[in-house]
Amino acid sequence: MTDAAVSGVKVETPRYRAVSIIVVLLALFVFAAIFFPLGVILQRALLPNWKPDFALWATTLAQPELLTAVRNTLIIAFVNTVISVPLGIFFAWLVERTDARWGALSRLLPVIPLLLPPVAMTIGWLFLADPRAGFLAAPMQGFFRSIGLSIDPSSLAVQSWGGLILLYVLFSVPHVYVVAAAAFGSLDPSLEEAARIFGKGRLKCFLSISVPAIRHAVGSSALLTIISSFGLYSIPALLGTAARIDVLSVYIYRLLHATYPPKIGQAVVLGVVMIFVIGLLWLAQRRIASSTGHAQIGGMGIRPNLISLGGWRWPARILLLLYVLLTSVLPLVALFIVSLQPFWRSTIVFDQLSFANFFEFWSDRQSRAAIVNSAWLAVLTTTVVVLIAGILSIVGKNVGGAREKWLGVLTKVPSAIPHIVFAVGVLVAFGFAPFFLNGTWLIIFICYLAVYIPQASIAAESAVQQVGNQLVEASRIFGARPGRTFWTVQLPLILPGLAAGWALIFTLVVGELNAAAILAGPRNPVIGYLILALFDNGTYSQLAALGSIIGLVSGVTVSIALILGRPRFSSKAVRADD
Amino acid sequence: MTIRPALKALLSATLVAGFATAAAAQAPISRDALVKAAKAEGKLMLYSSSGETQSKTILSAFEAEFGIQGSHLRLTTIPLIQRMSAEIEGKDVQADIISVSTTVPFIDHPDWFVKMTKDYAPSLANWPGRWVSANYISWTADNFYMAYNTDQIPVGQHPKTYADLVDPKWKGKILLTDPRVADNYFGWLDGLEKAKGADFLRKIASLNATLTASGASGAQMIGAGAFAINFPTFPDFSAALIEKKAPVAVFAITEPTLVSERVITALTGAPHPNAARLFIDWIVSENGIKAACKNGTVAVVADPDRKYGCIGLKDPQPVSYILTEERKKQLVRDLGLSAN
Repeated sequence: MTDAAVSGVKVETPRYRAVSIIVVLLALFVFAAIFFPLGVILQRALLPNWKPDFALWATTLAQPELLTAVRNTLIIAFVNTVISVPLGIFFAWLVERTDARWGALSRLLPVIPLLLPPVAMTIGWLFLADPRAGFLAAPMQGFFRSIGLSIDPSSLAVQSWGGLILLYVLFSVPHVYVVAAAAFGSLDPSLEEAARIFGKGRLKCFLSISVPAIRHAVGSSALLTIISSFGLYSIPALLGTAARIDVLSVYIYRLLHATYPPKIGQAVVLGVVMIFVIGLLWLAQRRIASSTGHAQIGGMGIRPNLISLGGWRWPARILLLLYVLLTSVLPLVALFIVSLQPFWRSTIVFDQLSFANFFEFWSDRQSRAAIVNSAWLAVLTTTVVVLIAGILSIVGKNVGGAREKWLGVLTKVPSAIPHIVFAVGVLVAFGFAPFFLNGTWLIIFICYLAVYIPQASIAAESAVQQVGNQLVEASRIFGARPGRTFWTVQLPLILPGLAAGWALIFTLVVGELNAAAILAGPRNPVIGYLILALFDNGTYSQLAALGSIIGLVSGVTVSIALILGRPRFSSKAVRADD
Repeated sequence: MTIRPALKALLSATLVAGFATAAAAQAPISRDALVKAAKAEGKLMLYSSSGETQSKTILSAFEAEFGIQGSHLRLTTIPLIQRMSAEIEGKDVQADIISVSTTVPFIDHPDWFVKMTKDYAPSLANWPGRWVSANYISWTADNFYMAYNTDQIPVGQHPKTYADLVDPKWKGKILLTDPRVADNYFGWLDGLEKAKGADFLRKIASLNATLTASGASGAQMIGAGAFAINFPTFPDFSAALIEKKAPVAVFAITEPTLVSERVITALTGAPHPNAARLFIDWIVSENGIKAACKNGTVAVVADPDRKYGCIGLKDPQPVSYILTEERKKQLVRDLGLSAN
């Protein structure tokens, strides 16, 4: 061991330089994938003939309807964040830090809603809670009549502010849960144990010790929730339109889809404004999370004790089960029942149920190819994007300061651009000369890599921030080179966080629709292309069958990811009162 | 799945040669020579916004007759045109034929599309002249329909005209397709206002109808019994439901009879120019019209008398796809919606 190594001075060995070059090339590749297409679109939309078009900004921002859409979006984002973040964190705490969990199954329960693409989840809820044709409509009305209440069916409609918020929350809670659960799973439990020893109650321990200790994960999950509140399209399109609640994503969709020529310029202007808003939110989140200390994975051995909930153990378990039953099992069952029906109907005729919709898919060569290929593409894309995000987050943490901030902001930029706009940029940038990637898998891969880097980097940053410097410094002091430190020390520690990000992004990639519309086709079909075809021209039964298949594929894959990515030490966790 | 640069360069050169021969492709050619050249190309790519079943039926019939394998890309009109535009600008044209429900790109970019002359496609001689434009053919003229639930409204007792639809007895039972989602629905609104006046739109608004984001989701809601009536819509959206014996029927709304025009044409840079030319000649021929109308869901403009099994429409008046922003805003406001 050299003095330089002991003092933490970087050793410029050939291998160190090679690792540095690889990291720089990786960063260049990612930023090329993001900013080349983005540059193409920005130039075309905002600088036609290389001159700024200020009238476009004025026209875009002066629309009175935009104000309504922004107001509604902000209301949804606020309410969704206020409900989803505490709920997701509470569930993560119950499962990861208390004896309310039972086996590996309880880790997977809160993520069940994540297994369906938003469009399938939304129609699942429509099957269940439409006031006239939902499976629950007649029983609920009958119940209210039996207790003497005459209730207008439409007052219970899922197509309402309440229904809209419910669906956003259902979509967001699993996202919060996986990020928070990964942080709780990696957390040094000594603070909680000390608090319990000094007589703090369970709830006080949760609120004043556990939650502040995963401050970064809380901030990251809030940011994820806000971004998804801005960008979700299927839920407001299906439910919000019916309730006449216009939101920003539907507003932008109409700019791009409703008329020819599409108003790409206006959509890009709104995207640029959103880039600034999301960038500011990210910086604010970083500042708040860093303003006070937060617990980190330390260098000491960890053998976490689970907090005993005593008499609250079973009520907590029942609460978890109830959440899963109401939010996931019922809509999934509704989806599966409709997938067995020839068409969606509110009554179940048992002799008409069959697997015809599933066989129909399997007998169609292109549908089969789309499902199989999408699964492989999703595994590949997700693995690469999460690894890259992990490496960039570690690099960011090491370089620190303004460079870290810029790296963080730049990796969030694609989250503000509608996928369809970004996909057009990717097609123009990489589809033709000199790359000629149009119609290939590689172009879809590049697009997904760019559009999902924000979510991956948010999850990775949360995981990296949770890891303290003690072990990394120890590794360096003992002469390990940066590559070895990464593979043997940092990667295993951030693995739970990366696995959570992997699970999140896998489900998003599998169900992605808008980029698929521009980049997929008969030569490179993906599931999103099938969903669009069925959504525009098929039956909801066929869509439900496809949703069930996606749910199955995602369920198996996400379960494997979360189980493989769980903290190694948690399997030996013991209850505090054992 | 990437192709080596050298091969790509060769393909580019072929494409350039393809553009150069585009003018020659307009020249008269004997039917036998065209069929032989098209068969040598062996493939055809159709970009279409019409229903999946419709495209498959037509391409199967074309393949059965000429042995040319057809494939298609099905997207809604705007993403389809966005994709085609990017491919044309990138000089990597994938589509041979395009069929959409708007005429704007054909007017904005006439050089992208082949001139529709009798030299190019001799069967055009039998196509009604008013439906042939410089670089596209008006192919079908589809009436705006209503879909209704037959459990709630027995067949025959359904509304037949727009005036019937605004009867207060339908209040709370109507699902209105959001007209802000596509050019042809804006055109429908424009046609309706011109025929019946702005007050009529306000009458529709007074029904306080629930909105649906597309005709496709509207048809599913009707099949499930969530609403009694959905309009405006097209028969394609309900075809699969009706085939599966869902309680859904469709009816062409009258007084006024408003139609949405669907156009079709070939691209100048088509990768299979002879197959494209043969397809255009075939689609306007007797066999092509029969194939298009095999499912009985479209009104080909050359078959007003239902001679070939199409939905017959006498003297259809297409709605306009070219409206000013101000006009669009006024129309949707009259309908009680926010103007985006």
